[in-house]
Amino acid sequence: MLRDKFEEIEELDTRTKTGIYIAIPLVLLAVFYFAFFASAFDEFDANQNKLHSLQKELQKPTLRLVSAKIVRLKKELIQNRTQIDEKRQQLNFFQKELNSKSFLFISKKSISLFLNKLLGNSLHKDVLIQTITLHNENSPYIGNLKLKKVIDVNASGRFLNELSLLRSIEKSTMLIKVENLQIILKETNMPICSFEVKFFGVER
Amino acid sequence: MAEETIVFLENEHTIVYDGKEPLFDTNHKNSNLFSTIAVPLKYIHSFSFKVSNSVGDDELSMQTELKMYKEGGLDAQKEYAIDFIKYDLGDEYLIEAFALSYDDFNAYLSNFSYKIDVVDLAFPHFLAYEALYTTEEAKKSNDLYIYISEEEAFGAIYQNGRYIGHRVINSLSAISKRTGLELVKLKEYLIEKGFKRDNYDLEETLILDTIFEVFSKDIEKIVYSINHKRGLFGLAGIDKVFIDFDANQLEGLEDFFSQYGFEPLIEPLVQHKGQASSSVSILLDYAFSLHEGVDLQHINLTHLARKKPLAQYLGFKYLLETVSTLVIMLVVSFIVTYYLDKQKDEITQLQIKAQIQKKKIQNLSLNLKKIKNKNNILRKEKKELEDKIFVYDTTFRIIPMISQISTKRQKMMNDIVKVLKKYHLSVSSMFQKDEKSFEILLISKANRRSDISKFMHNLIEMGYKNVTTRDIAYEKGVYKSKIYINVKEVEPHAKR
Repeated sequence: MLRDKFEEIEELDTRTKTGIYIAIPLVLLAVFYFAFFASAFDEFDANQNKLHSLQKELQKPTLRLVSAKIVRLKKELIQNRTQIDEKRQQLNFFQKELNSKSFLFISKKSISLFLNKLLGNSLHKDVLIQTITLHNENSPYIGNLKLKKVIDVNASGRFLNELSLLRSIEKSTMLIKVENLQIILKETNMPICSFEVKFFGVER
Repeated sequence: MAEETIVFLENEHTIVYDGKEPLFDTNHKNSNLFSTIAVPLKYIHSFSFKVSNSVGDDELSMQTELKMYKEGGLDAQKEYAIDFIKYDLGDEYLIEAFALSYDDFNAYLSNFSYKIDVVDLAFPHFLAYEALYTTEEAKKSNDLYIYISEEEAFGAIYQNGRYIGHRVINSLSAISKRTGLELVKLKEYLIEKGFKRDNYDLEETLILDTIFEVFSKDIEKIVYSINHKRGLFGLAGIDKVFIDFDANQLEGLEDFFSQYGFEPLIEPLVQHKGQASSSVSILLDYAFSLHEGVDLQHINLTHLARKKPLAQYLGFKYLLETVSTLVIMLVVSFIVTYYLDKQKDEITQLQIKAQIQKKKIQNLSLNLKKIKNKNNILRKEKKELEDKIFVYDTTFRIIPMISQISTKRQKMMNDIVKVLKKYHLSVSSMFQKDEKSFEILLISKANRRSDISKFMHNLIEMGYKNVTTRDIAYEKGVYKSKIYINVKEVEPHAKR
């Protein structure tokens, strides 16, 4: 059977025989290519791309950076805690110091105390306070010092009493300054005085 | 056994021949040896025709086969092995074609005492005499070979050592049948007395006449063939006649030829190889020479040719090529699959790694966020503390400065009030802008107007650098003067 087929092949002309000889591997290659290799090569390329992207993802320094950041932040955390403790101590020191001087920062309460004291002193010094006007300000003065509030005072009284009242005001344990002091002396009446008390606050 | 060794197949025995000594055997032991057989002429169909010499060998084979069936008298229902001898006549070919029926050949071989599966060479006896022309000198002769045996007889014509034609004549059996003479007696007469009338007694004359008549007609047929070949091949004549009759002479044979004008040299053919007869020896030499590759005219009428090993077929090569290509493709496929699997494994491993890393990053990020939040709270707290400290610190440092400003302002006021008292000057109004500048409107009587300048001078002496007045007006007996006092800085000695 096989021999008969072989004999049939032997009887083919030379060109056909050569053609078959060349065609066999080409046809098989084509069959294999379309049946397997084409899809396999595509899969290979796709896998290769996937591999590259995975390797790239794994090589990203995210983990290392996050770890390093955590370490850095932990250090900073400890440092901050220590510094906060130190600052608290420092603040306590300043608070104690300022408390020892009975210093008052500007606030509604301290202004109220100031006015009480002013009125009390005026009574004591026999100076008649005619008007007190309060202005809120927020303008820079020198460096970190800011003008926060101005109180205009108009009063009348004996000249030296007025000066005494001013001195008592300036003894106040707040950051204040008396400016624009005007005193008009009249022969018939009590001298009239007006002045501004400027309140300062420190701002960073 | 040498590769060139052949085996010649005969009815009762085989002859193995290596070119030197024929070995007889009753069995066909070496079927691998080149096997050869002389086909009896009674089975062979022959036919001659001419064709153009422009025809190629393949086409010639086809034309010969067609002619043999159409004109050569072959039975279309039977299969034949067909071969031919080609004679170049200059402008055309003379083709002498021969055919042997498969059935006839199989029937002939079936009578053999042993089984035959393969016959490499089957040829007619009359071609074998070419093996005798081994020298160029021998080839310079035109010869006639007359073969006589019990089974067959023929005359073969050779021109310059090459076969150009043959004629079948009556065998000894046929003559015996026609003359009624016993075969043994006939052979005895021919060997001992030939055709010489003087050799026969009077009572034997009738026998001689009968034999003479049959043989005369056979010679006539041979001469007719010689004359026919003379026209085709330019055969000049016959130089020698060889009698192939078991090395015997046929006395008186020359008389047959002389009547046709031929005077050839007649001699018996003696060519013994070992135990082989003269005619068998010639057949052995011919077959052996052909197997050795000697260029002799030949035809091969076997249809039992040795099959080539399967491996020698082109189809086998195709099969091998297909299988090897398939194997290569499969190997390549396996390698590709292996790499694909490896890639997939690698991808899976990397994906697992990536997932682990992602989870780690997620955990770390969460941790980082917590730490960040804590740290931000601490930073905020720290910032607030720093701000507070800054405010406290700055305030702490500013308190003396502010206090100093108040002291300066008070001092300036005290100084001016003191000097005013000293010179008994009256004041209409005073304006202390700040601790550095002061404006005062003085009133003095006309006779004490110099006190204004003394007042200014005194202040200058106290360290107030800029003490000026722009106008001094006299009105209703008093001088009014506005004094401007400015202090950039208080001199150290002024403090004292």
